[in-house]
Amino acid sequence: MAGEKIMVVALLLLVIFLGIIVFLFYIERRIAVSEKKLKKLEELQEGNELTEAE
Amino acid sequence: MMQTLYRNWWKYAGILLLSYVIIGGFFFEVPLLPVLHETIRNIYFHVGMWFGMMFILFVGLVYSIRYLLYNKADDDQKALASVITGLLFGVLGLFTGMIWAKFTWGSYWVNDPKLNGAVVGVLTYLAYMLLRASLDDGEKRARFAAVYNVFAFVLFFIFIMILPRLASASIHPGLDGNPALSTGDLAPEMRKVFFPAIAGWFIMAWWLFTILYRSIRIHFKIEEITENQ
Repeated sequence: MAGEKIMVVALLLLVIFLGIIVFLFYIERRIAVSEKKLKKLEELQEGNELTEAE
Repeated sequence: MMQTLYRNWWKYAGILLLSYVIIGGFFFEVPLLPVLHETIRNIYFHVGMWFGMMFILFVGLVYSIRYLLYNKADDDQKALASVITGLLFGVLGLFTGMIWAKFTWGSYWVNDPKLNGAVVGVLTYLAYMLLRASLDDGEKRARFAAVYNVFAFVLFFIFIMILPRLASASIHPGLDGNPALSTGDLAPEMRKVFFPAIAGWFIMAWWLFTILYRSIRIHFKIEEITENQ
């Protein structure tokens, strides 16, 4: 009985931990997308500044 | 695919290590000691998280010193990310410690110099966040925060390492030397889980730090762009 309880707790912790890992990978993907967008925006801004200077 | 695997190998190593720690921590043999009994397994989580916190707060200290030396905004953002990560690990460490205390000392919190020092140490870092939030000027905020972070790191170690030893009346283990690292502190059969746990929590702390740093950098860049327009 006690062994089963420990098994359930360990499995639950493992599932929570793996859930957190999946969430972290998802966040990383979202951040990577935002970084790409920001880079494009910065390039666009640099281009605008150059044309304004000309 | 291979490139992603190659780039993220250390993350996968961390995931594997901590999965092993969860399984090994619950199922591997531990010495059954009086008072502690099975709760000794919490050492893999409580001490591991606390070590992870110390590691990442040290990283924060390094970046704060770097900011004061080279004045680069990146270093300030990295210091901020490390303090947030450290706070998260600190709160988790306190939480796991409270659960442990309930089952061994009979109460979630006891009036003990080591425990009180730990919570005051975490509050010192919460004050870092408050300091940042109270300053509007970006450069001033970064400079003040960097100076405070150096101060906070020293204070933190005084609170958790020096003051409890001077009081010499703590029921928390580790009054002489470092808990779980001194030779008689940990049973040999526990080392095969404890050391991977330390490595796993270090990797997890570093991973969270990189995620936070990247999102903080985006936040600051958007702020910069909107200010320029």
